[in-house]
Amino acid sequence: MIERPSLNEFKAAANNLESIIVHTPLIPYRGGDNDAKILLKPEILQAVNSFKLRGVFNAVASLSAEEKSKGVSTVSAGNTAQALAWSARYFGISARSIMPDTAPLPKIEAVKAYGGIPVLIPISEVFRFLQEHLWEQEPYSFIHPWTNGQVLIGHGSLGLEIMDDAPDVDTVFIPVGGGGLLGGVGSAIKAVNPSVRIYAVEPEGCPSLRSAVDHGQPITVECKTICDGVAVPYITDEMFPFLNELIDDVLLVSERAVRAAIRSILWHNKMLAEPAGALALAAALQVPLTHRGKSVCLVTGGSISSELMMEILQEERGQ
Amino acid sequence: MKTLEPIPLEQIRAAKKRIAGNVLRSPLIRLSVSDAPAEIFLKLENLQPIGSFKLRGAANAILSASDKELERGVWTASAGNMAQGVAWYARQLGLGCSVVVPENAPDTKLTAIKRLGAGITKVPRKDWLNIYKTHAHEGMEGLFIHAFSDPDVMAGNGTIGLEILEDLPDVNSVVIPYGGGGLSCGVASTLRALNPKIKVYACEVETAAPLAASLNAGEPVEINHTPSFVDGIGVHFVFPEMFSLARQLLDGSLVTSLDGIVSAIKIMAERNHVIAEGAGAAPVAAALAGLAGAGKIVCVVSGGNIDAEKLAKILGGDMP
Repeated sequence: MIERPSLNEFKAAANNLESIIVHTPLIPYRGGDNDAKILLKPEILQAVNSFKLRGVFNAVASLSAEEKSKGVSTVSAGNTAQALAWSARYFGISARSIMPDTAPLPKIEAVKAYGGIPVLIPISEVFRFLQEHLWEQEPYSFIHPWTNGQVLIGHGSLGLEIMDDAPDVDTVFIPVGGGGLLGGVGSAIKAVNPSVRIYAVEPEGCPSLRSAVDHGQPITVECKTICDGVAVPYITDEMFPFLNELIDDVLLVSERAVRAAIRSILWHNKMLAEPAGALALAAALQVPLTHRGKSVCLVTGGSISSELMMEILQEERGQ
Repeated sequence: MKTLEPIPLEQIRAAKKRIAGNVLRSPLIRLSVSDAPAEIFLKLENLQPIGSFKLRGAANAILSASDKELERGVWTASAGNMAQGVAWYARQLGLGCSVVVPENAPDTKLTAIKRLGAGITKVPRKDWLNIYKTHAHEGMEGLFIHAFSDPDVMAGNGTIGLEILEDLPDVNSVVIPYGGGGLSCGVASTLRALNPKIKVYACEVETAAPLAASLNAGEPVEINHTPSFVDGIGVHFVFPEMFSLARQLLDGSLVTSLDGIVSAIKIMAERNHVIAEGAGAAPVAAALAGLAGAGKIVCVVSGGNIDAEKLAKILGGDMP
């Protein structure tokens, strides 16, 4: 099982990251009335356009000189690969990323633009690579996207920013894919104030953490959702007990509510969220204010295709 | 004609204290385009309440007024973002608010103003433009908030300059959309006072660029202008009282193409995941075209209020 990092570990990582990352602002959600008390944490404004840089840079920076010299590798649908390529370039080392051959072309191109090497394989092979620890047979220093301790601690810097900017927050809504973001941000927040509620959020179409919590152990679920950023069918055995102990609840969100949240963030807050990036807001909007109090919703990413965006814009015009 | 002077730095610093907590300290982020001719940064004023920078000036003007001046509420002349800025803040304070609009103002804008609780008076366009000179209109009472030439409004806008320098002290150039001139002259007042080496450019669209023409002529001139989807900036003339100030404070006006603006909106949406309206994207279009030179360039993304149909066309690669 993964151990919960200490507040000092989180603070040390946040210090290392200070000059690299953007301290993203908390922006009031403007779609509801003035007293909705929902704040958005838009990590889409993060350098390299996603929160992943926090954890990945911290992990690469934490490697020894010898480990760095081997070059680094990871497994990613796109954002982690970009963050890895960017971090590797910073340290002057090579970066190789196993990516599903279904990854969006702009993400693959972005990895190359930062000097990374994408290795495209079928999605089933990607999950096998992770489950069977196939990286152990390769010569690179491997940065596991979900369970690497330093990735988790780096992501925690996001939680410390929330506690600095909104010390009176009651509830934080965090989307779950592999669980690295949830684990890092959630445990950093609890380290500062254990009474803040942590709600994990998943799409109804891919409830891997919800199912694991209900069954008391990880089980593989089928994933059918537009939220490609969190479409991970399995919470790993190392991750599950750690997350289970950390969270206050897991909330499920319909595809329709995700689309409505994307529209709302677009029109009222002038930002483009990808489906997984709109999950947390969609969840907060279905919990009464009396139950959630002052809330922060992570807006994790904005890599949405123009086609899907136009489809969602047109739905609105049809209403 | 009243002569306008650059806004003194102490007034801008006072404005910053006054409006803190009412406006967002907007983030400055790097434009994610790796092959750009410069290091381009975005000052995201589109993330403000009501989706534009206008709240800074509106809030500062209202908070600078005495209780007596506010007894009968506030009013402004605007069909767009300023009307929403004034109405939004008046509602926060529980003040009455009236807005004078030109009779051809689009319904979507009027609906937005009404939703914020303001009263609307429609007048012929000529009379509406005249208010910017006379600062008065029959039947209107309370504190008049001028959309651009009010020194309190410009001081509020100038706070953007303070934030830029805090976040990027070694900035080389700043590019700012030019409509009435209140945004560019407010921000330039700050930058001139704190670091005169920084280049400060206005930015206009080719279909409506009266400042560039007037700077060339050395005096305010009228031009032929074509209305376009870039509705936040661009009329057929510059206001004379603003011209002398703009000429004194700005290093020129960069004129960008409509195509360039369409492309800049699409790039910001796809790469940085933020929505800009035409005027807000104009500085980015200018910087990407190399008009602002090299080095570190800050583009003030002034607003994000764009219609659904227009945005859908732009994301699809078409001219709206």
